Amino acid sequence: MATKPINPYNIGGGVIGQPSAAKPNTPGLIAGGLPTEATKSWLPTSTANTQGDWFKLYRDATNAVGTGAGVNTLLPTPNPATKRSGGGGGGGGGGGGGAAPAGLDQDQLNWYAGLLRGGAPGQLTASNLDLPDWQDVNLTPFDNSMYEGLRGALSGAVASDRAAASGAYDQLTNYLQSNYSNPYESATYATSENVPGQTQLAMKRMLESQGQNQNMSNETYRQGQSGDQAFTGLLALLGANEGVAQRNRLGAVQADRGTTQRALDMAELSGRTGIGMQEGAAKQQWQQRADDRGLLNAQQRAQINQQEALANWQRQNEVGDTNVSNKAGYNQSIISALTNLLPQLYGRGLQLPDLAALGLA
Amino acid sequence: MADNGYLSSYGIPDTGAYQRAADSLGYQYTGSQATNAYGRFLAQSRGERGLGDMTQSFQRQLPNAYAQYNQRGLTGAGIKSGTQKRAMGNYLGDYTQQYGRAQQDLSQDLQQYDLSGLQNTANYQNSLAQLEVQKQQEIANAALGIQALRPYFGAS
Repeated sequence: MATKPINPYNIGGGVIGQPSAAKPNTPGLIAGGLPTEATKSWLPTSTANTQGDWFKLYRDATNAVGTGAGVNTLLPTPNPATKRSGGGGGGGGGGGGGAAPAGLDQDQLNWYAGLLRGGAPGQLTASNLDLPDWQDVNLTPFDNSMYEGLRGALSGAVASDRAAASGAYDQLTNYLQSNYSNPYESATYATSENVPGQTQLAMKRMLESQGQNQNMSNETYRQGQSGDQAFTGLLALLGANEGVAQRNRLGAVQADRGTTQRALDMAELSGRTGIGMQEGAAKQQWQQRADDRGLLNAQQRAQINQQEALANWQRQNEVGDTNVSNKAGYNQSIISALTNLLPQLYGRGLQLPDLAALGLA
Repeated sequence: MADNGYLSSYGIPDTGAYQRAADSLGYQYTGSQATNAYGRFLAQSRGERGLGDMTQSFQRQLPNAYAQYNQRGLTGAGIKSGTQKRAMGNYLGDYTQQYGRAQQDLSQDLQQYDLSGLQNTANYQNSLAQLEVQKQQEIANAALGIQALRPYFGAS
């Protein structure tokens, strides 16, 4: 503890027995009985001045206010030998305080202050409560493997059907093209030229041999040729009809191929839509459960946090109250002890213990 | 249309039924063609016989025709009258005309058989093509049996 230079006459900012330069003609500071109103006004209040603080403490004790309330403030009568300018003389030593120690030197005073300081209560510190954290219990992730399996099965079935349908139409097209022949285009049929019997040339020779005009049968053969042309025309018409029928068949195959593919598209779309709707419904149910589980986890965490916060708040308050109570009790005991010691200190020129060192500041 | 049998009721193409239908068509076609060919043969035979008879008759009557004009003194060695020539011209002209028309009749009869044969062939091929269309169409449609799985995919 730091000590200040001992000045036996410097108490309360003035020199006992000498007029104060700052407060000339002030009445005597230390006097029996209560200080007058005039003396109260210049009592030092600075905490930087240890001796001034002691007077402040004395003043408060006298006035029964602050930390000095209830402290025994009876001071012995000042020694008449002490010279003071002005003011009344102090009372004699002794008095109701009992017998004063014969001699309390500075070391003893310091030892005593240290002893008092050793009794200062420790500062309790609250340790926070940390409960085990809540371990979230979450749902397993949504399992869509079944729906993926359905989609895969659907894709496989559609692909297989597409291949079967395409193969069927390919075979049909190949069949129609490779087996097609128009019977009317390469037909062999009877004509007036290859009909059984005499040929036109033979008939002309016969007419010529008989001395007749060999061309007299031309009209008849012309009629036969006209009949041949009519029949050829009929075959050409029927042949063209067959060609149209073949082209129509091939066109119908292409149309049917497209229709089948569109039907497969619709079947696939319908299937995928159904699977998607089932998956969506299941996912919604799973999400509902996951949300409920999330809420439960949040509630558990909040409950634990609340328990921790409440316990820590209570404990901190308890510790704070205890610290304040202990400090107040210590302060009271220090003040009481030192107040009782004041009479022994008076006029001995001792450096009073620092308030901060005693834990009072 | 082919009798597809009980398999089709399960959506399974019964290609055997189509093959049986094709075989039946072939059987009918060959039978019709054979009947038509035989009819053509008979018609041709009749026509040839008629033409032959006509030629035979002509050849037998030709000397008599000339003889008729000779008896009337319209012809002889170094003598050829215009009347006789015209008359023989008419005779020969009638013959060639009748013979030519008979040939036309025969030719047209034969063309009728030829036409029937061609139509039979065309009908046979067309029927086979239609049958094949139906068969492959059923195979392709059977692929749409995937729709039978729709309830399992949640579709109505």
